[in-house]
Amino acid sequence: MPTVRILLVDDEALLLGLLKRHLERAGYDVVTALTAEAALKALTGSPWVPDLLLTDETLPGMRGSELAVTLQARFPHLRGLLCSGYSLQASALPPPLRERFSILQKPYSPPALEAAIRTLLAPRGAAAAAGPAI
Amino acid sequence: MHVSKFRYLFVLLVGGAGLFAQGFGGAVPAYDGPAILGRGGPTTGMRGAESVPITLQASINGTYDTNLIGYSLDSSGRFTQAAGAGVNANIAVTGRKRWSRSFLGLTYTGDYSHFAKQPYFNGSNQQLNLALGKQIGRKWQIASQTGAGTSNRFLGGPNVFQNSEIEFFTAPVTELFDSRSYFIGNTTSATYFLNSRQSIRVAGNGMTVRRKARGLVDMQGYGASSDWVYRLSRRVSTGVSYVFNHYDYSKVFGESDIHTLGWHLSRRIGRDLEIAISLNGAKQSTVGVRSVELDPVIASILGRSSGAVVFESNNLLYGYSGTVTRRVRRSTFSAAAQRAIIPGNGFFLTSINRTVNGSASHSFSRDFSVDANFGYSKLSSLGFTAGDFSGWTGSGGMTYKITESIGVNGRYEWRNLNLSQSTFNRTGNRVTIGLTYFPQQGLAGLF
Repeated sequence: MPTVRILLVDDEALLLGLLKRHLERAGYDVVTALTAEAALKALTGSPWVPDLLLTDETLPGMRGSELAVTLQARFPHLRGLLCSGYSLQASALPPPLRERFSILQKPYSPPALEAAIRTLLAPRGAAAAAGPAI
Repeated sequence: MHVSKFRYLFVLLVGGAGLFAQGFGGAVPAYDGPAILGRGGPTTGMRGAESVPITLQASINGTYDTNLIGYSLDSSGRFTQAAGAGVNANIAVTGRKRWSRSFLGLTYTGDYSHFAKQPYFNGSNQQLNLALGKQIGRKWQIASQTGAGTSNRFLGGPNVFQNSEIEFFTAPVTELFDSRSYFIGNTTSATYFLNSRQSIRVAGNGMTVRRKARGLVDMQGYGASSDWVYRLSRRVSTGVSYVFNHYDYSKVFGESDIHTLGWHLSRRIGRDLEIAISLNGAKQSTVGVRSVELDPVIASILGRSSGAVVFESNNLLYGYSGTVTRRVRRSTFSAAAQRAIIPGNGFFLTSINRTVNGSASHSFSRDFSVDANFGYSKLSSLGFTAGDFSGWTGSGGMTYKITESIGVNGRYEWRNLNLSQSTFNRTGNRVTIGLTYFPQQGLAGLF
């Protein structure tokens, strides 16, 4: 079974590294970027297609939600988590994202992150609910 | 000497029982350094470098503890602390066996405790240390040492045999609560003997600690080490070592890398006195996320009182360890001090731990022996948590044989644990009195 591919975007380099290693230990295939623009550039011409976007909402330049809208237009199957320290409601998400994206309130713990990813992937099949493979 | 299949089967059964039971919490496979009589290989089941026949002991005890503390709060928001009387049953299997080209070392202790009015603290503690070694040709030796167990008590586990001939695997001294933890770790090494005076070794290790309490952090780690040992004389050996350890934490985001360079010296003075010292320098790098209190204005904007910050901690640290052991005909005295980086206790994560321990035992006769122990530990976090966690412990015990195979044992233990910048301060006393059974044949006949 293929591994879930996660595009991880956060402008805090230390946190980005921690999250990447944590998700890789959990069995996910992770590509990282410090900005939305860098994420888009990394995907340009790349055969690597993300299954899930995990991004901070507050990024320098393009915001996380703007990145999500751009990517979902290109990858309609894309699901995602927008992380924010502010108390955002799901209704605040841009309409194209409401079906396949969720909000993850910062700060979050590793178990909360893993649970959020599992929940997000669960509708795609029973196997996804059980772990990183889809 | 040929080793029968039955003997291997027994080892697997005993080892497997402990591993399935899963292990206690706290201790980390440590560099065991140059040794005088051996080469610092696994010491499970050994007292110094001497072999000990594999034997079994069992006991049943009554116990009273003035300060059991669980991972919970009472209705007024204070830590749940209780005095409790109960009974426990213990079993221990210990010893070491050497064949012509291989060896086995084993310490296993298990108990079950039942408290009359504090069922939270009921349960079984298990602790296994198993060492296997094999000589390959004239130049190579491989060895593997596994420690595993489970414990739900900081103090008062299966320790009534402390005045026996066996040194048990180091019990955790840095846990905050009497709550369940599980531990398993393995170190596997290969040693190459360059000549009669010099040898080099490479080793790898892996470990994990799981804590049942929801708020205490689990840990998994791995490491590698290499060392060179030079035997200066029959009584003195020295060496240098390099050790790398990596710790990952779950339930929080955090990880540490530690590189340590060490110098070691072991010396025997006369027949009865052994001294071992190590000095080391370490480079520690920790990255993690820690909680912070938010400014009230910011908190009102965000709708919560705390937040999280990512931190990076890089330190150059020194460490040391020293042990002195003195054996006189009927007495043994030992003292040890250490400053080392450890993965903490689930609340304090990567930390500097300073410990001082001492013990003394004396046999007045073949039937009557006493012992006393003390310990001090101070844990200082390297980034995750502020403050220090310090603990004092002391204990004294006696065994008096009333027949060839049955003895009366008694033990008194005291501890004080203190968390700086917190109201956590616990002082407790524990008294244990019981009967111990020493089988005359034990397991020796099987080997």
